[in-house]
Amino acid sequence: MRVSDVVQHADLSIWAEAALVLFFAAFMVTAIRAIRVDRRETEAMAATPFDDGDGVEHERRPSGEGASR
Amino acid sequence: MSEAINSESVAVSGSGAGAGADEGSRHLDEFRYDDGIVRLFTWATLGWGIVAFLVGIILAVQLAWPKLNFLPEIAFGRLRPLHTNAAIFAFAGNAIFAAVYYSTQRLCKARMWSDTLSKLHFWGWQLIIVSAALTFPFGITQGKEYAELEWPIDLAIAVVWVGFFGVNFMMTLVKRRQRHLYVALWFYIATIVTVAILHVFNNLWVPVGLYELFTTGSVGSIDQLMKSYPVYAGVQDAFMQWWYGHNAVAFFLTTPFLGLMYYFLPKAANRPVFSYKLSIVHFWSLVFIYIWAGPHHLHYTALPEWASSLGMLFSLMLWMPSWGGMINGLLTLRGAWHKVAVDPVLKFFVVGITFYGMSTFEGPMLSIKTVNSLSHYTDWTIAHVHSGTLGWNGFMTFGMAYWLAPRIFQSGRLYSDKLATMHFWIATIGIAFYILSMYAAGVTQGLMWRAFDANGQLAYPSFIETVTRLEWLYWIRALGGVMYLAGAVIGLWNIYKTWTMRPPTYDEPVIKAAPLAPVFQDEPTPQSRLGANTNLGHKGDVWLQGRWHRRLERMPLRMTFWVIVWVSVASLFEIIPTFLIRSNVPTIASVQPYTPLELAGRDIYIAEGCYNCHSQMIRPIFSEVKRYGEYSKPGEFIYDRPFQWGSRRIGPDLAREGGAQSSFWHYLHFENPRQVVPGSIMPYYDHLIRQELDFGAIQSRVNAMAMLGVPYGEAVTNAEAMARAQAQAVADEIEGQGGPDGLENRKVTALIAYLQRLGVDITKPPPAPETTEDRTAEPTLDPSTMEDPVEPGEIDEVDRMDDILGGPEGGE
Repeated sequence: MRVSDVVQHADLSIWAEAALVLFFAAFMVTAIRAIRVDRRETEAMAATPFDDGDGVEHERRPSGEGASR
Repeated sequence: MSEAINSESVAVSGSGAGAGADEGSRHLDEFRYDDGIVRLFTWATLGWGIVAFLVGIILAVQLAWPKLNFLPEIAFGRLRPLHTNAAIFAFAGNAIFAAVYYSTQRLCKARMWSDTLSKLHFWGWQLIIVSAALTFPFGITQGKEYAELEWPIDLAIAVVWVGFFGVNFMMTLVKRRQRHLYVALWFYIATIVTVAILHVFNNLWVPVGLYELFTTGSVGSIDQLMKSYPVYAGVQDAFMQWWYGHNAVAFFLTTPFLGLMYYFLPKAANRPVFSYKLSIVHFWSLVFIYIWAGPHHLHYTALPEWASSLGMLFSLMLWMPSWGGMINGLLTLRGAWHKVAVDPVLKFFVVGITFYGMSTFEGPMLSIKTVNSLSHYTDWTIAHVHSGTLGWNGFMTFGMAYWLAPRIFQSGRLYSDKLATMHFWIATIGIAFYILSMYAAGVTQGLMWRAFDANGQLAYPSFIETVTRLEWLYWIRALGGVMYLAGAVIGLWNIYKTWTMRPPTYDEPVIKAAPLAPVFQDEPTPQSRLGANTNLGHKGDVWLQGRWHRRLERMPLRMTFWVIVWVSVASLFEIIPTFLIRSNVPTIASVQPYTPLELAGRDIYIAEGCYNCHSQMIRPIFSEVKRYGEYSKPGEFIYDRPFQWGSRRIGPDLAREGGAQSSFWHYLHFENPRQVVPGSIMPYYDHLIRQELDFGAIQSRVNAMAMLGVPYGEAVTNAEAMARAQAQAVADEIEGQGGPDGLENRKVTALIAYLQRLGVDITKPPPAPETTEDRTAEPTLDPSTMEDPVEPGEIDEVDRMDDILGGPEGGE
């Protein structure tokens, strides 16, 4: 028996639908993670490019703007 | 390998959320960034950019003024791969590397892991580009768009990309001094991993020359040594190619430039990215969705319908994360738009990101089948590609180069902001000229191809009518290209002058940073906030608090692993059914392998780059069937290695070219296309009439094909004699039709034999088992069988494909 024999009879007609379900699940996980992350954490992460030892201070956004989202 | 030049013990305090160094009292490492490698890649970016744009202009002028194809080496078919490869892998590629080397060191607070690997990467990549420039003009190509480079260069790419670049990058992450991996690094990881996967699996081939070397002990010529055939054939080759082709756009021209955007835009605007949360969703969505979208390049072709629909659906979904990224980029400038008015760097970035938004809106739109039925094979696609490459990649690259120049050359400032602004405006207007003229040309082509008159006949039955109508648009296109090139030359001059302002020796400041603690004290796992609940509920609540992803962002190898999983799952969902469900590619009993001479002719077709202008795929659309004949079936391509479906029609489709014209007509057409088709813009191919065919090379090519499973029968031992016999028959036929004598050993004869074979097998009854021998001894040029196209239903497999494709009326 060859692999193609197995796949031939595996009824893969739902693979396209399964792909969408898979994506939706993955997207939800990512979105939940992104939404629930602590605001201070994202501010610190977003500031990473400015912490490279070049000595230039970056602008900080007013409270409630930008990286806090 | 160690880049630390000194260290001192100090007390280091942690920086809260993990963006900075680890907590604890430890020593500080001292090290220097390697900006020398950034300087090299920046110069290479600008230099190769000029080459790519210049070749593009030559191609544009060739379309409007075909006499410019005065040498075979610079004819359109051979030059176009040079242009696309130079723009993608030389210009954009070097820009990616400059961005990665500059930003990765700073985001990791570490010098690149190995200076030696950095240099090997630079010089290896430039050698690959030079190899492309030396092989394409001489017709050494695999004949697959954006993957034309032949097997030795493919191997070099794998070594340089993975062995030099990938290892150096990953080891720098491992040795970093910044615990958190900034989002730009995620995009770089996805780029390196996915491009490696795409490149390897799309470039599985059997090298003819090596096969000949092992079997005979010698190789006849450089051409023969470089020649290879892919392990995939027909539909499967097409699927793999566009899985690769689309994702080369995704992971070579998109994800690394998004990494570039997430680093250089905040630096240039001096403001953090608008929303880091959005960047997380942007990254994972893009990585997951992009890989599915490739089949939208093959709508209405012989690709199974389910794969095509899946590609369309995911392409539409791709719109959302793409625009999420664009919005995140543009809103980073919220409150700082006044800077855009005076800063040319930000001007380039804003327009580049805007082009990203336009391209990623247009891409999903073009993937919708009804839109695609109009746009595919037309210049609309060319406009789309150029708005992405020149607008998104080009402008982001120039913005980065202008921002980098004063820093890496330590000149204190850019030589001239005015010149940079002039570059910006000339290039912007140039792109507008370019893409608007190509939109107009594309829509004109698409509408003319499908137009019917009041009697139900094609309104423009002669293809040349749709060609000559576009000439003025090609001139405007060339003008736009000249303006874009002029801007790039100004940019090169400006950066050269900035370089002249450099100090006598570059200062290499010492950076101090604490190494990562061997054991990271992570924050405690959060507690469930639920009251009375099941154990599963508590676990779910803890998981939903997202600490697991926070940890993932500190673990480059685990992040890489999940990117590989993401990309692989998406790929396998499409690849496994395409390759392993036999009904996806039903065979047609009458379709037989190419004869040895036809195979040699096919190799000439590939070498001359005919696929750059001619498709071999008649879609099941009424206007196409009316113009070209019976629509193409998957089973017709099972011996096509590589497939030659093409992606545009500067000239007509050739899928049913066999028997459509006499062999003498083809001879005259190759000698000078305009003597049989007035107004044609096809290059001269008179060199094929003068050059002799290397009959001695045919046997190895047949044997290599046989090794791949092509049932060649007697040809495995007698290919040369069979080819000579068929060549004599074709030459006699041409002479009999009024042509010259003595063509039996010329390349043009093999090419004509191949063209006369195209699409005729489906009209024949299934042959007896020995037919390969019979047909090669007696060339199948019987016009009586060619004038009676098969009716759907005569062949069982055709019926089955009607079920899959939904019949011949689709799309209209």
